[in-house]
Amino acid sequence: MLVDVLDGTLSTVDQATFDLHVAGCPSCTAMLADARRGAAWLTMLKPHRPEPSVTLLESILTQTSGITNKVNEPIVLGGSDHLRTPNTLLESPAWTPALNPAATAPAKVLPFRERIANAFRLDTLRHTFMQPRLAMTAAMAFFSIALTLNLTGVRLSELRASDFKPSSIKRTFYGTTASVMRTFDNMRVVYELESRVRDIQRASDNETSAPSDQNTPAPRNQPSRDQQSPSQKPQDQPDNQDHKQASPRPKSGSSRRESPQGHLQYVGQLSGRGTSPAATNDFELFAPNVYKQQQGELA
Amino acid sequence: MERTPEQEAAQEALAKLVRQCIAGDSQAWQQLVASQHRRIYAICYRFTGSGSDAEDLTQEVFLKLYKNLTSFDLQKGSFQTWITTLARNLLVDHFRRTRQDRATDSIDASFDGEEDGPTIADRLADHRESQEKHVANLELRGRIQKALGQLSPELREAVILRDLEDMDYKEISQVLRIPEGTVKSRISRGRGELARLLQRIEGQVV
Repeated sequence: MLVDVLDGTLSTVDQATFDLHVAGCPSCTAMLADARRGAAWLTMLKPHRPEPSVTLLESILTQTSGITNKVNEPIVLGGSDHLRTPNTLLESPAWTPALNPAATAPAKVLPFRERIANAFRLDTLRHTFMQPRLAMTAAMAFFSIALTLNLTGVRLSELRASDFKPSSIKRTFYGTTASVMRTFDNMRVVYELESRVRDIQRASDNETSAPSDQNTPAPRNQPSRDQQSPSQKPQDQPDNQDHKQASPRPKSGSSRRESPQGHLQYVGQLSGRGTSPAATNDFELFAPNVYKQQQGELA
Repeated sequence: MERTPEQEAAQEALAKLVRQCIAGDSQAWQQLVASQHRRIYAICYRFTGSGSDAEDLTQEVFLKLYKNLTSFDLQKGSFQTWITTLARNLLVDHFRRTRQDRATDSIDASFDGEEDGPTIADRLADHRESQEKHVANLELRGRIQKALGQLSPELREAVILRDLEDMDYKEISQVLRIPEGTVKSRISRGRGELARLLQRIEGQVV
């Protein structure tokens, strides 16, 4: 009602009722006075309408006049405008004037649908994906895939449709695994370490179990086809071991074939110690597959 | 409050301009922005008290308007009310966003940075009577603006739309989405609050 009183829009009856009430109500009197004074203050402020800067209208029109202006000129938003970074695209946006026919018209208002349609155009997509970070990501992905294929021995030029059958994939997988294992076994360092470990283990076993083993001379030599005398054993044993080593072993067959030097070195080591049955026994412990296979042949 | 024939004609011209904008007429859009941006800037400036914030918010209002212009239905209400509602919503969002940053300093604080207040050049100018009066008026307007900024946003927006932008109660109730009675109540309270805030300097002026 205070507002209506100040506006002078109250009916005469209401105005009379209000005046009667205000005369006996100090709080309403104070409220009316405050409201009147507040309205007076605002009346002082009203004629001096704040004026925007001259660039505001241009900024609004620039932002709403199509994509062409947006690409070429930075959007002016206020004080933080200087923080904007320059265009870092790999190629110059020479396509933009032809991108949108509506935008090339002088300050033509773009309907909303056209802007959506422009987002899916080939030129726009090319423009998006030519950013340095995306190009770098694609290059790194290509490099990683190429390196992986090269390491696993896959040659894209030799790929055929039959290579993608499950059996072919499985065969390729096992082939790759065997190749990796062969490469690992062929490494001289690995071979040296293996032989060193065997030496150490054999030496420790010799110390602990040599006396008991000497009483039972090499039982597995008994079923050999040519019955040899005990005196021939020391000379034959290395050859026998050599034969066992040369027989197929799941992971190290190729190493024997490809590195004869390491093999000879191994024989040399054995020749010094193979005189005792215990040494023979120990060595065969390290070749269980050979032993089993030999037993199978004998059986 | 009845509209004058001039106001009716202006409303009709604005509606025509809006129809042309929706049809894709760029010249009409430029005219629309040119005719409305000062009013929107004034509302934003009176609400925020900051020129740069008001410019940013005005740009936001017109960007939003540009994006949603096709959804505007002339049959449902006046364009003036619609754009004011857009501006008011953005102002409320801005108020919530900057609530933490605002300093609640007293109205006796200096008015440095106020576009409406006296500049350094004004202060250093010679002390002729007219010049003094001009500076005093500038300072007074700065104080009123400062006091306006101290009102609660509900009272502030009602007072600005009514006393500074001359909108009628029905339009204000549509913009603020509150009943007309509540609008009137807020305007009265806002005016009274403003008077109490400015009471200390009242004696110097009157």
